[in-house]
Amino acid sequence: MAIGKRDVLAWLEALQRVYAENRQHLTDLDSAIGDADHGSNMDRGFTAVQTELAKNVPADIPSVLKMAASVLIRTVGGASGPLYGTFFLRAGAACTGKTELEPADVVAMFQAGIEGVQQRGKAAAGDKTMVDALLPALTAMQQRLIDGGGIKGILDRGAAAAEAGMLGTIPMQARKGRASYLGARSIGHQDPGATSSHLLLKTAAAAWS
Amino acid sequence: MIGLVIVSHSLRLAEGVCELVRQVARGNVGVAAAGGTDDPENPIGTDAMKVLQAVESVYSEDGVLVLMDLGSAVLSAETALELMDEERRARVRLCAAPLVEGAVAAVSQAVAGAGLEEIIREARAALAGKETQLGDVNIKAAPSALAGGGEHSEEILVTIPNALGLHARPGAQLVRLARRFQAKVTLENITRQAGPAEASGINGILALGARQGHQLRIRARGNDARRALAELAAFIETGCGDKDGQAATTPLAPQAAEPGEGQLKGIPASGGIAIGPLVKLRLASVPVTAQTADDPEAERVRLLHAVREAQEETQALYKWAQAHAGENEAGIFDAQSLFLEDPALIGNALRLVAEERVRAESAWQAAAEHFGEQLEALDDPYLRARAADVADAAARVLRSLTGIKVAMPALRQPAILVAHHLAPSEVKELDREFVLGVCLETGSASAHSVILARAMGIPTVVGLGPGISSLSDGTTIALDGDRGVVWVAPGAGQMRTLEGRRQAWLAVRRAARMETKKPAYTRDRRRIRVLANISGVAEAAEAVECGAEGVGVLRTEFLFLGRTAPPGEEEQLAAYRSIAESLGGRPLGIRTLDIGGDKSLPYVEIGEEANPFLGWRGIRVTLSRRDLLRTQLRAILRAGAGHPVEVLFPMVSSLAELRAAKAVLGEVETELEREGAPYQKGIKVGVMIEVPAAVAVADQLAGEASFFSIGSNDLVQYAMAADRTNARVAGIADPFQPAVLRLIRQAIQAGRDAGIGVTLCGELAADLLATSLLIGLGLEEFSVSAPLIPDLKQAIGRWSLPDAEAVAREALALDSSEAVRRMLAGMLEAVPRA
Repeated sequence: MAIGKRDVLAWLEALQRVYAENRQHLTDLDSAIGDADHGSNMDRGFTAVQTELAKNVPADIPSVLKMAASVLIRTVGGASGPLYGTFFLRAGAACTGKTELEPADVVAMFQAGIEGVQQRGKAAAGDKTMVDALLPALTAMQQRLIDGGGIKGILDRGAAAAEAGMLGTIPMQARKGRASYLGARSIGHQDPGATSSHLLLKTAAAAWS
Repeated sequence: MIGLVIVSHSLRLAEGVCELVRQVARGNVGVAAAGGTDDPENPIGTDAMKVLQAVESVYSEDGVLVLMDLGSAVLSAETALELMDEERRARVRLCAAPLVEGAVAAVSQAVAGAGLEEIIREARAALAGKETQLGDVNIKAAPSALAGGGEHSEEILVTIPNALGLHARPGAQLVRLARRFQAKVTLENITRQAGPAEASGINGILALGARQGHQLRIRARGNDARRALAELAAFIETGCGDKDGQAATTPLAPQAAEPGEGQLKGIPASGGIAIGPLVKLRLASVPVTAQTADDPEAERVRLLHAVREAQEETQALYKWAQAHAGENEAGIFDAQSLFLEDPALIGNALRLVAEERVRAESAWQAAAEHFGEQLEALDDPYLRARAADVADAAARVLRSLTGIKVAMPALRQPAILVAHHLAPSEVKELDREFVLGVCLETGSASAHSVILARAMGIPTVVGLGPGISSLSDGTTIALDGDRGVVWVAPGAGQMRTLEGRRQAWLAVRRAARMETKKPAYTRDRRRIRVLANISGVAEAAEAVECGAEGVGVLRTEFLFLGRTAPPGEEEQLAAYRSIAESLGGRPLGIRTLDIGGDKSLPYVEIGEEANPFLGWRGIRVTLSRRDLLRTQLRAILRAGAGHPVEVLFPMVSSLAELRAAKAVLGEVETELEREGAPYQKGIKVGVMIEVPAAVAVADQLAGEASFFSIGSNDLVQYAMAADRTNARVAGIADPFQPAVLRLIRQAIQAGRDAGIGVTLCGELAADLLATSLLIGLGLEEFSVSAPLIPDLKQAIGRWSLPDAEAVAREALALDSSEAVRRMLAGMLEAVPRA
């Protein structure tokens, strides 16, 4: 199976639903170690993406992803705006010239997006950030690709690794972002960014199965 | 007109700051605010699109400065930059200056006509006034208050020009340069906002992550601060000592992963095809358990001792790499030895020993890991790859402490090695006979271990991921080091194709090897001899392998350095004989001990000299320490029994010296004759032409010498009276200076007139820019370091003698080294490829 523009649109639509459903959950996590706005920020951003898509659907996959990026950048407000914005921006650039995404293209797309997040936020593994969910997901997807997996297999592996990575942030002490001001008191809480990143992958796995 | 953009979570704050600075700007600076979001319900936040619009609204070619508050403001500003096109982006600078003070300082400077860089510097220093007023001086921001002792401090800004930036090799050179000054020098990467780091420690310098285009601030405090700044700035601005074309070693991006059935895709690292059973390499890491130490002083001594031992091992690796892969690649081991002597690294480890009372092993491991992590955290893949080099050097210390030797598994049959990663020093252990190829889970094409594998001609694919290690030992795999593909258990058809490609690759390699073993001729079939410069026993075989027709200069100092008593006759004889045997009948020119200058020996008392290079050096030393000279000459003559050995005297500046040396040679011959020992009768005696005085009397020397060997490195320094390690005058010490070229012409001419051979053995001989010129001047023998021989032979084949003579005539008529270089480069461009 290959991924077409229709599948990308379905993923964005599902993300809007998922972030709306998890709005309170993300905000609760964020109120423990942040500024209690992650849920509403994500919800607002992805709802705005749907509003924009209702007005105008770009011609191809790269421009759909880039449009989502610019809407997120404009509307999310907090640090997750430029971070998820950069994710979709780089992901879009990685799909340039593609009308369909084969398994290798899907992994390349996630790789570009995840590297973008890492570059933008300058976070390393273990800093208790989105990166702690995204990096293991990327490694798992690459591995699965090498082993010869299809898109569903790749994304299932990615989502599972992201979930493990997300849970792995609980014992970590934050070293980036606002939570880092809490020092050792950030230990014991699951990182909201890693949580929304897990949802990003889990939703892709569900939408593209 | 310079533009200023203020980014804040709050619209009112951003606009307020703009309002404040517009009073100062009075229409001379474009000011724009990017504050808050457009969402009325959540107005506090940042928006990269707004930042982008604000930047565009005040953009001009003079540049735009962006100041921001914190958190997402920084990320949004960076995102906005990513959305700009590259050309415009280059003129926009994000600055960490304090928002209000920085904005006021920036606008004041802009109104006064300052350029963007100066404005940034002032903006970043903008808290100084307030701090002084309140007596609230941040210690970190004012290091001079701590250690400066009120000494004068100076600073300078430089931009990194070379493609790879301040990576390990130039980092090492910079540290060595900085250590020559008394001034305390720090470097700061303004672009990445990293540092400041002490210039005396390699680790801190690498952690700056300084790459092409980055701006560095160098600060120096102390007596010779100004001179230190000038030299360091010159070093950086002239490309950090990188030669052109090294950008080719920049990391290759992994290729799109499109593996077919039964294939793994990695990064092509070293070309060639290999097929064979897989053998997994598990290099046991040295286990270190945290243990408290009873006697910290004893641990301190153990640690320092182990570091010394690791240093020596690293030096040996340096020499090996120099012989196998050339000076450039050997540089990594030079950098590693600087890691090992970094005062910050050793200081940290010793502090752990003293304060935490841990054993030397765990103290060292903690200190080394800390630095490795700093490198791993850098954005730059090239510098991240250096973390492996640090770990490699650090492991050497641990091995010395624990006594655990990590040995390569002995292979019983040819195989393809699979490993997680390979350290540069482990590559040395690879058995070339049995290692068909190498597959690594990690790594980049620019890792030093990979560069060494390439130099050794071992097909290698890296970056394969952990999948490769899940295969079991003995599985047949094939790899294509040019395309970065690995086949797992290829089928019969596939195998036939691969085997065909492997044979083709081997044939090409054999042909190349045959080619380099062939004698070199010019286009018009004039014979030019190419010899090797060597400085060790092992290098002789390598020289032959590379196609050397003999050894032009054996530098014998390797036998004398690093010991407390001179080597005896038998020891020297054994070394010379072994080299002569490796050469299989090819000539071997042995240079007598050249000590003095920058080299000293504990058993030769030279004493303090104001000008060591103009002092007691070379033949001057051995003529007064006859014991050393006689022993060495005896060994050389005896090694010459049955082997074509020649003797070469260094630093001769007058006929009297040559005669004196030949007199000793005569005495030694008589002695050997009397003893009835076999030795070479009528040995050829060569004179190193490396002092201008020797050129001036070359006709006289030629009457009594059997051959000349022009040492261009010293000749250039002495002729131009310029030390090439002194950055300020290094440019003067150019072998293409008309003065030097005339001296070389004169020396070659004197040799030809007298009918004796002339060799050129300095770096100039290996400079392909000079090949035609030297042939044109009548040179018939080149002596260069072994790995450079194949390229030189090829270059020789591109020229005919009449063409080369025309080049030489034209070069000698020019009036500057720049003009000569330009002309030669043009000629090289024009000449057909061989």
